[in-house]
Amino acid sequence: MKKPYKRKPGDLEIRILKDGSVVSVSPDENFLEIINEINNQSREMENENAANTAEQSE
Amino acid sequence: MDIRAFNEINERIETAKSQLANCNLCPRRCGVNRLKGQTGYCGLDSKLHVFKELIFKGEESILNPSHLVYFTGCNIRCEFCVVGEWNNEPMTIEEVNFHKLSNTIVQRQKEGAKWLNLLGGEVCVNLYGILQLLSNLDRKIKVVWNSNMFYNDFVDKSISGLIDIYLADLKCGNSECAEKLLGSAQYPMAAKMNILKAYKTTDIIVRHVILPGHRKCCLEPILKWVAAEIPDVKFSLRGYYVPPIPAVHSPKEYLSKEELQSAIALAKDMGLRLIQ
Repeated sequence: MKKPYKRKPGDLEIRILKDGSVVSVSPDENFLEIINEINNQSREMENENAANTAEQSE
Repeated sequence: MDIRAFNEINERIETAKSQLANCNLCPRRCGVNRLKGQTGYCGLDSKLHVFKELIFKGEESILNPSHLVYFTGCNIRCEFCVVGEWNNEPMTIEEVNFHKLSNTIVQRQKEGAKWLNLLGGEVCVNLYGILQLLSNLDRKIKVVWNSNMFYNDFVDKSISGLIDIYLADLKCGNSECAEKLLGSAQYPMAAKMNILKAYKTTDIIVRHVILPGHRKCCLEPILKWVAAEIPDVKFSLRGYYVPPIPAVHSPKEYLSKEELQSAIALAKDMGLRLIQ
């Protein structure tokens, strides 16, 4: 089996977990912005989906 | 920074420098001459190396926004460290230019940072350089000593009055887990002693990152110790453990919501002063 990749100095790591949550490993400032943007978008999508579901059930 | 301590800072820098000739800053007591370029467990000589700095709003709320300044080199080896890759060969990172770093700190304060948050790696092994850095700064800048608290008395005396708050990690609740996960069985005892000392003299937040599956062996002993020794201390329970890949001794899973909630409930039951 291939050995897992070990982070090296300067690498940025993002993990998307099975529940959809996004984990960033010790991000820098730019990377933090990206993560926040992803989280915001995913929250917006969740809200939209919830609104659609509510409309359909009415 | 306290004015009396600040006035003594040049003397403290010289004493810290002389300590590096036979380095006993931490319980590892490597005894190497870092002034001559010898390196011990932390892998550092006498120079200061910074691998990252940023403004961060994800610390405990009273510390936000913090200007985080990360120094290389550490005296423990947490298998789950999220910046471990920077500490394997700490001297490969460029040496600090004090003038430039001081300017960056001033700039970050202008951008809204309320705190200068010093972390690593580990700050104690960078004591000499950090004292030099502080001597270059306006003493009104509020300083956080963000540390694993694994150091000897000398460090505590050297920073006394120069920092405004300790952000003190308490990582494992027993020697066995500390040996496996951090690489030091001595860690819990040393960290607790230093936390007690810090608590008596300075503002302090004790932080524990909850380790999944370590409730009986780590979480409960830590909560009990805090409840017995420093029940009114600001205590922060954090649930952001990130499993290393691969995880040998460390938990392989993320902390579940249930584990986090149950840890918080336990801390509340014990009467601890939890902060967000």
